[in-house]
Amino acid sequence: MFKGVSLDQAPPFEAPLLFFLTAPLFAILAGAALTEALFFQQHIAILHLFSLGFMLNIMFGALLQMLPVVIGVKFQNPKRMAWWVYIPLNTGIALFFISLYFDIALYHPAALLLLLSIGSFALLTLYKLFNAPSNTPTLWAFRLSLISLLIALAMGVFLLTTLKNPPEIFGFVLPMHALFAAFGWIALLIIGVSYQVIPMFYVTTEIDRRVQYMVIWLISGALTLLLLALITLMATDENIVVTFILSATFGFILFLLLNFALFVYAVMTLLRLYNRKRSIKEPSLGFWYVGLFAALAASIYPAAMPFNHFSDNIYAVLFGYGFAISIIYGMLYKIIPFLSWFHISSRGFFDMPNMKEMVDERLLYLHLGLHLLSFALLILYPKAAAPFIIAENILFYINIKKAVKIYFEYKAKKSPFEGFSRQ
Amino acid sequence: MREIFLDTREFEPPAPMQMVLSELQNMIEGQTYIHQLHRLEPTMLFNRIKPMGIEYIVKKEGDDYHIYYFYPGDKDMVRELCGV
Repeated sequence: MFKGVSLDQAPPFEAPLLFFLTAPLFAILAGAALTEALFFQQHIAILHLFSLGFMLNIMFGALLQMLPVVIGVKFQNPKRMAWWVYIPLNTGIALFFISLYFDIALYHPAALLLLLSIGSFALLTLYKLFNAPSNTPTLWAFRLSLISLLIALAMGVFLLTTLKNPPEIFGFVLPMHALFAAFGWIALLIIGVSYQVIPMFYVTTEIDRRVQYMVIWLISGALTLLLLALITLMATDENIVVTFILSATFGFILFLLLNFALFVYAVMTLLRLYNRKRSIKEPSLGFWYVGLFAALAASIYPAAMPFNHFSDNIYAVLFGYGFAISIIYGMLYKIIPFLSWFHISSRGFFDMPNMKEMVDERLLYLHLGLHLLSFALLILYPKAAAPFIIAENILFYINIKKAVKIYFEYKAKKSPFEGFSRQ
Repeated sequence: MREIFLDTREFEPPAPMQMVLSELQNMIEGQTYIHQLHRLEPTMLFNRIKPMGIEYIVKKEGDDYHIYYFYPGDKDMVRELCGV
């Protein structure tokens, strides 16, 4: 017989929410720090406020939420696990920022906390993912993204702890760390999630599975070759100048291959969105378009630019702020209202506001405008972007406040099905 | 057995989930089953109906997914009807 709704199967929304609500704080801090930043090391600190503070917090929150419902993998106690990761992770990020930005010797405690929190979460999640009941491109993207995160983490810890007395290999590990973090961890995760959420939220057909896998394996293959090259380099005793020239040429070819995979993904996803079955205009889609066009620009940039004119800063802004952060906002503006609705309805309520009523579309468009402005200014004159980065993240809190408030209001109410479904 | 057919391919979430959950209340053991035509595998819905004592079968044809929801006792009959 029909047993009504289950009160138990939905994983707690508080666990991902903890990470989702913390992430913009780091972006606000990054905006504030940008106004005073002068040195390379300070810009690296700010970059990590975006990558670790903003993106990694969102990633952990999203994985906690998505794995049980999309992949069928469950954590024993998601709320407790969230806190166990959350505290060392965010303390580690704060120490990392202080040590690099203010040049205070807190490198070792920062490295230890990041190693413990990111390492334990990634290893546990990987173990669960390799024991998942099914195999899909999204699942493979998640697995490879977490493996890349672990490799980037190991390299990052090495870089951080040898920063003040860098060995010869330092200069080789630095770009590898950046590539594993950008393409391996961030891009693979975004690609894996988008394979699920684009057809779901924007009523499109799925990208052909062979193309889905091709993008994932191209990125993973190129990164594996880079890692093998680094290991070979460490094992040989060649002239460092010759080795540098050889590895730079080899590395650039693989970098072009990574960008080709990003190009294919961006084009295929844009085509799906352009040809979607219901062409409803909405602001979250605007973030996706910004993100995908930025991905296209980033993927073309190294090939279009003569080698000596390539700017790391412009590439980092196109990839990080344009591609990754735009898409993250687009995802969050869909996922947070949906999860709020999903968790409330899982408890048997039917009178709650619908997803569209949980956000004010005009304010979302305002956020999109501020985001475009921040993005453009980060390329043209980074310091001028600071107030807009701060403003867009404060506006993000305002925009999701209603969905979060509704969730907690209904959580406090007694479920209309209580007493029926457990019979 | 009578088929309750739902074409949810052009609906945004959470409408497809609401439509199936609503029709599940009209599903009668031994008499009816639900046939949903959708653009992807509705994994969140699967997660939600498992504790309700409902089973499902997924069949992919081209870009579309055919999902059949039924009571466990009707499994053989539904498998025969949907050709899986």
